[in-house]
Amino acid sequence: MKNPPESESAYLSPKVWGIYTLLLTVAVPWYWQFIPGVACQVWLGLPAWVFVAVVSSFGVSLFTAQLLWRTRWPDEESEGDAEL
Amino acid sequence: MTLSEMPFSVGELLFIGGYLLSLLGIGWLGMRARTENSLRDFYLGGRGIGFLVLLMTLYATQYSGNTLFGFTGKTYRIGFRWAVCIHFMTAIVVFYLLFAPKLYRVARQHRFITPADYIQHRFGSRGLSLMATGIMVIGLANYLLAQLMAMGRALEGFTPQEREWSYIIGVMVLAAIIVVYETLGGFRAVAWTDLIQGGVLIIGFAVLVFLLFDHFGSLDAATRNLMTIAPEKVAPPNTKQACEWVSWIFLVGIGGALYPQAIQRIYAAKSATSLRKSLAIMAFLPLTTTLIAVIFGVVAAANPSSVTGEGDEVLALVCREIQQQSPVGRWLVVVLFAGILAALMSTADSVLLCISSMLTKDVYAVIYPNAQQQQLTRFGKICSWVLILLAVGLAIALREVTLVKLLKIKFELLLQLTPAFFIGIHWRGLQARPVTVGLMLGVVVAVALTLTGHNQLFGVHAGLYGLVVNLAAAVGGSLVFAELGRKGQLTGTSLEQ
Repeated sequence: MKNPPESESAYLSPKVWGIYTLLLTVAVPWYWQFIPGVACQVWLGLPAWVFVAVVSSFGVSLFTAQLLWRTRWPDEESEGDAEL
Repeated sequence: MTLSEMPFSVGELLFIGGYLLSLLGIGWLGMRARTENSLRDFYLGGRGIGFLVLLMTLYATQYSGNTLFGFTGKTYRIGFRWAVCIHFMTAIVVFYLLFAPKLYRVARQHRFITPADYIQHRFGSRGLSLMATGIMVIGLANYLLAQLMAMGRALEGFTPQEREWSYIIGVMVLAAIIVVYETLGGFRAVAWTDLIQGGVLIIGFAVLVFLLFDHFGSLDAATRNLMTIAPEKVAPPNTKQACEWVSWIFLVGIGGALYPQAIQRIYAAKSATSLRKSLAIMAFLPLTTTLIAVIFGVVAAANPSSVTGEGDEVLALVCREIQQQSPVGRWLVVVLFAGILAALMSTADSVLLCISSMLTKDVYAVIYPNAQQQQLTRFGKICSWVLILLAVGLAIALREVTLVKLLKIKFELLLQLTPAFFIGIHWRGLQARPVTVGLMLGVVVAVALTLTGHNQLFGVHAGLYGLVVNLAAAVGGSLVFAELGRKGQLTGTSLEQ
């Protein structure tokens, strides 16, 4: 298994913020006004546009969590893994 | 008010009273666990807090009375468009990625206590540190006020016959409990009570979902009903409203990440691992908290015959109605009520402690540099009492102001600290004087726009306009100074000459 990258600067990479921009573009419902028929369909109890916004938000959470989970910070080497 | 008019029976009141007393008990335990009488021990809990306590204190601090009352009330008023709150609460964790890891490392090395400690260390400017402290204190005082007002709302919604007195008593009693346990145990008491309050809050939200669907029926039915009676509350946002979404995401995402009390929790983490893992879990919590608040507001809006309120009291009014239906409903509402109190108190105590720490460390200790640690801690405790008395008075006087309005003013100010934290931590070229000028300009623009009634222009919040000016002055000014310095070196002169 690959060792996790060990620098907090991994969070600053253009690739990471490019993905966030993409997720933001989908998560903000600016485009639904152009397809009102679909926007107000009910998906799992929510209007379609809200459902997509919630799913996108989950995508942002998932992406953020995996970034935090796999990127060890430099300080952690000296801390060991013993504390919780 | 007679006993028959009280919202809870004697047994239920004893349950809530026991919960509140347990908080005082934790304050006492926090005092017993104190290892030294120092500012660091009182305001950061000494050697720091581990994963579970850190996660729960971050959670209980970030999710507040605004989440429960402000967000349900706002959704009730404008409908699904307030789903933006899910995004902006997630954005707070995203923006932490930009500065928290490095800030944590520097804070450990230099034993910071307050956010201004970082600014003083990074920029070496007392004027800038004091200005930043002033902005944070004003922003947080506003937030403390919002929490106390929400405490009053929590009680007044349950007792429609005696609304005004319930509000006043609610504010006074809960504020007194907070200040007592905080004076006893400092940060340790606040973080430990947050562990309990965070747990109660999570249970409270689970109960909220159950109560909601049990009483009002499915979300599907509520959405379809709302489409008929108030289609504007279901319609997707137009272009201007979509701009508002983006503005909210940046306003609260950045402003929330710069909460001084949250920055202190970064300092207080026992290890980078616990901080990293806590933030990873925090990324999912908007889906279990703010999403539920939105659903609650929508369901309430879809049942206007059941709900007669127009604002932030909607949550309490709905709970009161459910409470009257069955014994099980009564007890579930009691648990939810405890969760509501937990949300309010856990945020208020963190804010109170944070303001007190800044006034003590960044102001009093600067005026009296020879003051002993014991003296500083005593001053901090006195600060907490004076602050809470002032805040209680204001909360009673400003009863009619809505919570979301208060929330916004705070973020407009905190946002102006962005260059110092987000850019200053990475770019050594950012200089104190341009940052100071940028901060002043940003605050002036944000406050001037807000005071002239332009909270939003073209869907963008006043604070973001201030931030653009602020960034231009801070970054542009630093580049100009660097260029002048380089030319000065080449010609053998210096800026000082």
